[in-house]
Amino acid sequence: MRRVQGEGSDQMYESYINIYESIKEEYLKIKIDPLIIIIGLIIPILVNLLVGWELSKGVINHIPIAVVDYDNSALSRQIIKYFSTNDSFELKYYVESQEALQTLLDTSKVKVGMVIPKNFSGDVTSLNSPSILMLYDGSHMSITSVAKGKASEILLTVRTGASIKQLEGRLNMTEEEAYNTAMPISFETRTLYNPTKNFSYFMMPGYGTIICQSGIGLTAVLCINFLMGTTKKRNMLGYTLGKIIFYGVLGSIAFITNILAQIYVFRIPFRGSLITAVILSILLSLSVSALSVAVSAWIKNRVIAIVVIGLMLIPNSIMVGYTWPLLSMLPFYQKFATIIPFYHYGDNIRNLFLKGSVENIGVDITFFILFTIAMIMITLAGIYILPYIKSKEVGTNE
Amino acid sequence: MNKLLESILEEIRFSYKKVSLMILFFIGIPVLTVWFGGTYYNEYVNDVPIAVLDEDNSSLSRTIIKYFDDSERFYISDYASSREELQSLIDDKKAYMGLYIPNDLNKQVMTGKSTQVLILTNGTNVVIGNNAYAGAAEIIKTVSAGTEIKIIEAKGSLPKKSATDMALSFQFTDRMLYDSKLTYMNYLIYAFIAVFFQQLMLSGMATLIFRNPEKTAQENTIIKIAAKIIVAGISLMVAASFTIYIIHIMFNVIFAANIKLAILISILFSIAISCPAILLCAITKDKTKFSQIAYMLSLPTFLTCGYVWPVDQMPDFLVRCVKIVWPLIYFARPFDEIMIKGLTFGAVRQNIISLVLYIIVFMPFSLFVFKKRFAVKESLNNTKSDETSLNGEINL
Repeated sequence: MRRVQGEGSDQMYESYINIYESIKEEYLKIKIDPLIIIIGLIIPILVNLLVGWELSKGVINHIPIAVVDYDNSALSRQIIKYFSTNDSFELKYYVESQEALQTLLDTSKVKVGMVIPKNFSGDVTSLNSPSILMLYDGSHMSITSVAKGKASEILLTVRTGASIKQLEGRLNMTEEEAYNTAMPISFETRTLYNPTKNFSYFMMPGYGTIICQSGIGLTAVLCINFLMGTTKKRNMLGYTLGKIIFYGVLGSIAFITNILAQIYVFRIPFRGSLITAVILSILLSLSVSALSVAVSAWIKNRVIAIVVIGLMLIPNSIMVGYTWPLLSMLPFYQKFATIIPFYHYGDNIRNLFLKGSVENIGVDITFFILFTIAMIMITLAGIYILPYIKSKEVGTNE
Repeated sequence: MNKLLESILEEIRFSYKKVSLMILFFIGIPVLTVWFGGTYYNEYVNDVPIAVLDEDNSSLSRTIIKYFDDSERFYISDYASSREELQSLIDDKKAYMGLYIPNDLNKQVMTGKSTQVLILTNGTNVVIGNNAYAGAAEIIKTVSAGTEIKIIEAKGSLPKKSATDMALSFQFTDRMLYDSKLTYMNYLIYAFIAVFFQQLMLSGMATLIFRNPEKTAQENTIIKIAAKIIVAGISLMVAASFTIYIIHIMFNVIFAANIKLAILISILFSIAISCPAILLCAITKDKTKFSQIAYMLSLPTFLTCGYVWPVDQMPDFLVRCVKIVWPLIYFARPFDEIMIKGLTFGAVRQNIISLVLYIIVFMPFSLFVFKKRFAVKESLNNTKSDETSLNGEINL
C-alpha cells in the first residue's frame, strides 16, 4: 500500500516537473521571440485603447440633414429650428427642390432629408392634416436608427403643440384641458442599465475581450513542439497543462488589464463584482488557451493552424449574438453558439458592467471547466494518436 | 510586357498546384460570407419576450396589451403582479421589456386627465433595446391617437374626420431610401465581403511572396510583385463577384451597383492593401509571423473602417492616423454604398484619389523595404529555407 502511494506521489511530482518545464519552455520562447508578448499582450491592450478612444463619444449626434421648405411659414421655420437646435442633427443644406435633396442623399452628403409641403401652415390651420416627408439614408443602419427616433420625437412634440392650439381655439378649452385631450396617454420610457444608450458601453466589454482572446489564440496555437518526442520522453498531460496554464495566465493578464482600462480610462460604469469578472476572465482565458493548444496539437501546419484558430475566435461577436441577438438567428446558429466559450462570457461581462449582476453563472462556470477538460483530452488524443496514424501510414506505404 | 506576362503565368502555374491557395482564392470569400451572413437571415428582431403589469385591468388596458400581443415584434412571456416582479423579470433576462399600465389609466382618460404608460427596456443590448422601444412607441402612439380622436369627437360633438384632423394636425411620412427594410443583413454583408477580401488578399499575397522572396527582391521586383498582385487580386475579385451573386439570390441582398466603379475601387484597393502585405512580409520574413499579425489586425481594421462606428463620429486625429496607416477606410463604406445606393464616380472621387495617393506613397516604400530586407547572401538564404521547412511553416 505504501509502495503504491509512493509511486503515486512520484508520478505526481513528475507531473509537476513537466508542467513547470512546459511553462519554462514557453517563457524561454518569449526571450527568443518577443512576438508572443507583442501579439498576446501588447497589441490587444493597444487595440483596446484605440477602439475605446474611437467610441469615446458614445452616442451618434450631428447627423447631417438637408431641408426643402416649400412653405416658408412661421410654423415650418419653427419645425426647422427644432431640428437645427437639436444636438442629434446638423442642418447642412437648405435646398430649393426635392430633386436637389435627393442628389444630396444619393451622394451621401446628408443622411436625412425633410420636405415641408407648400401651404403646410395653412393646411394645419384649416384642418387638412398635411404631411411632412422625412427621407432617410437606409444604407447606414446605426445612423438612420438614431435619426429616425430623434426626428419622430421632435415631430410628435410639434404636432402635439399644434393640436393643443387647435383645441384651445376651436373648442374653447383651457391650456390644461387641451393638453390632456391632446395627450390622453403619454408613455414614459426607461432604458435600464444603459439609459443614454451609449454605444461604447454596449460594445467595449465584449469587443475588448475578443481582441484579447484573438491574441492569446494566435500565439498559443503555435505552442506544441512536434519534435519533442525525438529529444525527450515526457508526461504529456503535464506538458499540455503547462502550455494551457502559461497562455491562460497571459490571457488573464490581457483580459483583466482590458477590464481595468475600460473602468478607469474610458469610465465605463462597472456595477458588479470585480472578483466575479476576474474569475470569469481566468476561466475564459483557460478555455481559449486549451482550445488553441488542441488546434496546435492536431494541425501541424502552422499557417493553417493560425487560419483555423483565427476563424474560431475572431468572429465570436457575430456568432454568439453579442450584437445581433441570438433570438433572431436561425435555430442552428442558436445551438452552435452555446459551444463557443465567448457565449458564456460576453453577456455576463456586459451585465457585470452595466447591470451589476449576472444570471446562472454556475452554468457558465461549469461549461468553462468541462470545455477545458474536453480540450485537454482532445490535445492528448492529438499528441498520442497523430504520430501513431502517421507511423501506420508510413508502414503501409513501405 | 512579356516579362509581366511570363511572371503572371508563373504565379498562375504555382497557384493551380496549391490546393490550399485555390481554396483561399476561390472558396474563402463565398463560404465565409454565407456562413457569417446566415446569422442575419431573419431580417428583424421579432418575438422579443415582454412582461406586462396591468394594474388597471380595464378594456383600454386590455386593448393596449392586445396590440402588443398581436405585434410580431413581441410576445408576452410573463404577467407580473407587482412592479418589483416586473423589474426582476427584466433583471433575470426572462423579459427584454416591461410594460406597466397604472391602475387608474381608464378612469383618468375618461375624466379628461392625461395619464402615463411606463415602458422599461433592457439597455444592455442596444440592438434589442432600440427595436423593442421603436415597436412599443408605435403601439402607444397609435392607441393614444385613437383615444384622443374619440375624446375630441365626444367633447366637441365633431364628426370623426374633423376630430381626426384636429388630433393629427399634420402627419409625417417616413421614407427609407436604398434599403427600405433597414435590415442588418444589407447593413453589414458588404462589410464582411470587404474585410474577407482584405484578409484573403493579405494571406494570398504572403503565400505568393514567400514562394520566392529573395528571387523577387533580386531582379524585376516591380514586375514580379505586380504579377502576384494581379493573380491574387483578380482571383479574389472573381470570388467576390460570385459571392455577391450568391447573397443576392440567397439572402435578397440589395445590388444596385455601378459595376465599373465597383471594379475600379476594388482594383485600387487590391493594390493598396498589397502595400502593407509586402511591408509586413519584409518585416517579419516569416509566413507564420505574418499570418499572426495579419489576423490580429483584422478586427481593429474592421472596427476603425467606419462601419461599426461612423467615420464622422470618430475623433479627427484618430481618423487621420487610420487613413495614413490602413486603406480599408477608403474602401469598405464606399464599396457598400456603391453596391446599395449605386453611388456615382463623383461621390467616391475623394476615396479613389486617396487610394491612389496611398499607393503612390506606400508602394515604393514597401518595395524599398522588401528589397532591402531580402537582399541577403545566397548561402544565408539556403540556411533560412532549411530552418523554415523544418518547422513546417512555409507551405500553406
